[in-house]
Amino acid sequence: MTELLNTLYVQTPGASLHLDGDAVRIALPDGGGPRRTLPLLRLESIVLLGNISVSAPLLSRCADDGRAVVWMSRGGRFRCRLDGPTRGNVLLRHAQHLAHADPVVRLPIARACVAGKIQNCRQVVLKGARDAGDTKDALRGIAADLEDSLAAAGAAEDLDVLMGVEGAAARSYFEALAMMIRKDSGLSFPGRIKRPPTDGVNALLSFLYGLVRSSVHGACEQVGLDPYVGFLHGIRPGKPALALDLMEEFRPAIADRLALTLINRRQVSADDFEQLEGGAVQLTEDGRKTVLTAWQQHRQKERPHPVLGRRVAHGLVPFVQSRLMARTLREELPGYLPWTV
Amino acid sequence: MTAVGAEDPWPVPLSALEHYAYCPRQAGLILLEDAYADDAATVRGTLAHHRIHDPGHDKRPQVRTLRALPVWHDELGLTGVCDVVEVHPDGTVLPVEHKSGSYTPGGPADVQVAAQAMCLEQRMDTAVPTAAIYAMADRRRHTLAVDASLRERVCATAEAVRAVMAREELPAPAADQRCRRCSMNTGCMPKVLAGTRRYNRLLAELYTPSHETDWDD
Repeated sequence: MTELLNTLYVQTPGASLHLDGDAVRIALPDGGGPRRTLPLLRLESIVLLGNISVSAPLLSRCADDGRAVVWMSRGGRFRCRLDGPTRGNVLLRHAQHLAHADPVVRLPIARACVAGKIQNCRQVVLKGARDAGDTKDALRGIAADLEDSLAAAGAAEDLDVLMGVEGAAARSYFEALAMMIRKDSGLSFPGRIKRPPTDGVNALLSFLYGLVRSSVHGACEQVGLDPYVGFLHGIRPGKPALALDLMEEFRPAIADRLALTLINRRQVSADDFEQLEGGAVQLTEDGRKTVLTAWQQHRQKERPHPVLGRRVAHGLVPFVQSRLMARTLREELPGYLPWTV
Repeated sequence: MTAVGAEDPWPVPLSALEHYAYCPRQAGLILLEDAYADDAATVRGTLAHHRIHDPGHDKRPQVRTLRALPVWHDELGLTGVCDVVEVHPDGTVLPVEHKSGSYTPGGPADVQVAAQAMCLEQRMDTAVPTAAIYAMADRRRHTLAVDASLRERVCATAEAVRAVMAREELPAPAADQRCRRCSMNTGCMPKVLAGTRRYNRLLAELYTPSHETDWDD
């Protein structure tokens, strides 16, 4: 996996996807629009948002090639994913399970995941402080709090304490996030609300986190890790705990930064959200289109990777980090190093 | 893991001998981690092998050409498939291994084709003193003598592969010029593992606030 391949996102209700030789053919409802085919060779995965149907031949071809097909709700909530067979790296999986069961191994990995998240949160806040007007001091103050949280995470002696540190850091970080949203953007952030989001900013964050999560989950699978056995998030049926562990470091630097850019540059505005009966808020179809286009561009952007010593595209970082996790679990590396910007 | 008796050595794939001779870690990654990565060169090889294994019409009617022939060796515990085995009118058996690249004398392919020769000796109950490698890059057949020292190398390599499988531990990365043309470079991460000083330094700094970063957006 040295080439960053594309992900095909389909969100037009009633659209259907078919296998056409070595390409995927997209049929829009009532046969509208031009004939669209895309070569499968260039696609890493196919993500379907909402009511989209996929032909059985296309599904089985994707399974053969190891190309994931992911179903998401229209709000971007992960529903399921079809993948080829589980990779046969049983020694790695076994090592992962043993590491989960051994607090001496488990705790440092969990700590590292939290540290990576806090480091990146702090960088996002510092960037906000640099661009801020009257909130500069408040943001600097939160950055200093996050430094304390970072030290506390390093000193945490059990998972409960560590989770507490993580929660406190997240609360002050989201306070900072609220300050970083421009007043003239027409949106504001009341703090993190999920399940379901009840305002635009939270709807955007949930949608982006869903995209990050699906790419991290895929990276775990590809490297041969069990996405469901985590270190910080532990194990609970149906919860991809390792994917959640690994995505902590990506939330601030990849998802939140992109959300801030989209809002503050007014690429996404209040018009891009709709409120459902009962109060839940989600992106409109046009809003999703804007976000997905920006997400695809964002994935291509490169940043220096501290461990590899070279620039790596955002979209490939989850693969690099999954490999570092695998090498750590196989005791080839002395510990897990999160990706810090 | 099932215990393996002395008279029942762990079967070693013939391809693993070649992988090990190229780089022990490459063999380890394939055998222990089920990790195989394709690049342009390996895909070219796979496509070429589809053609080779397809029985076409033979231009030399007096030579019997066997394709994709499964072979094994009980005592040495080897198993694999020969690309092409030629049976000449005088009874000579000649394994011909096809390689998409060019030929390196004394290289990993020699070990693989010599092992095929040793398997064929047992299977066809005849001496196979010569083997050949067809290099697609230079469109030439290179013949080599399956002599005592090459046979010794086959046995030693098979033992080494078996040791990797038994230890369940990956051999250290080569981190040299071999890695540049290895399709498994990304998963192996030879440079990161070889330069653990840098890694350890970064690990020690994990809980220290890092320098304020530049966002180039």
